[in-house]
Amino acid sequence: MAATVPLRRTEPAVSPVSAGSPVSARTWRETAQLLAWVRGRGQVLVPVHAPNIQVEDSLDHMLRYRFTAGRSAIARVWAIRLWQDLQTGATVPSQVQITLPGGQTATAWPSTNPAYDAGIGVYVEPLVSKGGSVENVTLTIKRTSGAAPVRVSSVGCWELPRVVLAESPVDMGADLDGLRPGLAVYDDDYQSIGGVVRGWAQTTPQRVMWSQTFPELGVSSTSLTDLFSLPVPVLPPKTTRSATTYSATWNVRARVSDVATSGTVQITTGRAGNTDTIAVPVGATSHAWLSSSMIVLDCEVPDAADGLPGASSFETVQVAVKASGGGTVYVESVLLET
Amino acid sequence: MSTSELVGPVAYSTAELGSGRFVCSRQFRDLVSTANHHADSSAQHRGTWVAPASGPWTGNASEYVPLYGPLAGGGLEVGGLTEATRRWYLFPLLVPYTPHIRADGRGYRLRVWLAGASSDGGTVDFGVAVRTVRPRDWPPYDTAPRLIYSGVTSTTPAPLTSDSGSITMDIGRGLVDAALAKSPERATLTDLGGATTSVAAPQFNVHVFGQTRTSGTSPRLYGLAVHEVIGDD
Repeated sequence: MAATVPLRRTEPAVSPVSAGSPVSARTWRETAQLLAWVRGRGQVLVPVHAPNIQVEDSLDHMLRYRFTAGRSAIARVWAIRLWQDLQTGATVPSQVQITLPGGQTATAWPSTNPAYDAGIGVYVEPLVSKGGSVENVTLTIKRTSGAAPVRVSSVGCWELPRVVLAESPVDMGADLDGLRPGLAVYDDDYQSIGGVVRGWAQTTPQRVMWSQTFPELGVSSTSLTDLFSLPVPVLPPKTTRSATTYSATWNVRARVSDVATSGTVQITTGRAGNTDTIAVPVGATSHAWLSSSMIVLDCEVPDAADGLPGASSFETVQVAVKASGGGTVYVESVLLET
Repeated sequence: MSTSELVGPVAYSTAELGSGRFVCSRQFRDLVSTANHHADSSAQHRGTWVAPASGPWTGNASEYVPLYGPLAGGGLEVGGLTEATRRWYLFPLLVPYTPHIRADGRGYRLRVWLAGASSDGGTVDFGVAVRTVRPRDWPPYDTAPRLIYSGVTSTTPAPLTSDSGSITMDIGRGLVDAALAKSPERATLTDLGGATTSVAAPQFNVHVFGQTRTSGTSPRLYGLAVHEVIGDD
């Protein structure tokens, strides 16, 4: 049976585990199945957002993302929603080419009636290696025919679930065949209770809380200027029994307008007012992901029905920018992840 | 609510639970509790978006996701709904996702945050629904999870409060079964370079609807967050 990944999670009960009683094979087995579920069902890499990028020429329009990939994924799903405007002069419908980060291409015909049509393009990107590392990826969209302007109205990406995990240091699958009633328990990699214990010791769920790209936003003010119309609701998971906060990773992709200008990007949390800054180097006139930094957020409360840390109170973040040196600072992507 | 007895993980070393060592029941209960907590924490942020502020915009992009309403000639127009009041329309922002499914067949609960405004002070309404298939009309069907935010008149972008006061939607077993029945399995491999197989990937779509009660007024969407959470039993 190997380490198959179940569609539904298990919920191994602790009540049968008590002093003087043996731990049943069922409990061990459900714990191993849950390990495969957590490691194999995949995570969201880009929460769905509205880039609102307009494609009205045959040039490449690049959407930039950054994330820490799951270790076990072998394919990703990109969900992309496009629409085209046939009412403002253009009458020839447009066709676009989508190039996934792995180089795979697909042709799409954007919706002409998004008020009624809920269609969305779903594209699977097979991976050539397993992840676990930070990746900077680019999704490219260009118009290949037609005249109507095309708008990218939503983009999201998540990992395609695995069917079975390998018994390997990367996947850490625990063989379910060795966790049946009547079999001896022993300590070995990927086998019996040794596989379960080692697997969980190397398993921590990941969560990308916010990953948004947009037409570059420019700020020339020397005072901090909010980039978003409202603070963005986010919640990291709880990592210890007593934790109430989480130190999350954030980053931006930014540039300055000229060699004399530099900038500062600041993130501020809504609940505690914590702040952190990332510097945009002087003279960095090409967009680039900057050095990641950390921000302390209030974390999820697992025993609350809605998980919120306060009564109907989300943790939020706002990103603000200021320029120095007389020019403009531009930001085109942001990331906040665990 | 948490499925973890201790509502959090407990750190342990693999040496403590290795061969030749006695393992007490407390240690194993901690391991199971930790496993359940990590599974609870596998809940994902399926959608997170807030419109950029209007001030710093350069270029001609809109500061909000425009709503497209019908014109008399059957065409489309950005912004003001000039004729079709009290009729729900889809916003172009759509959140598809493959749900995490609990042991009893229910999906992880969704926690929803919505921010919007009226274009000119006229009254507008918003709705959020979870569907397994393409929606066309509101309501999708009586048992579908949905939240309604009615009577919005402010022109200032702000988080909205649903009519029920709730920020969560339960994903029932029936809905999960429907998604499984209607979503095709996706082709994949057993591993990198492995054999071809398929994987069940039930898909839900979270839709945002808007309607106006005032001719010429448009609902404007400024933000949407859709988070999974293990939720209440």
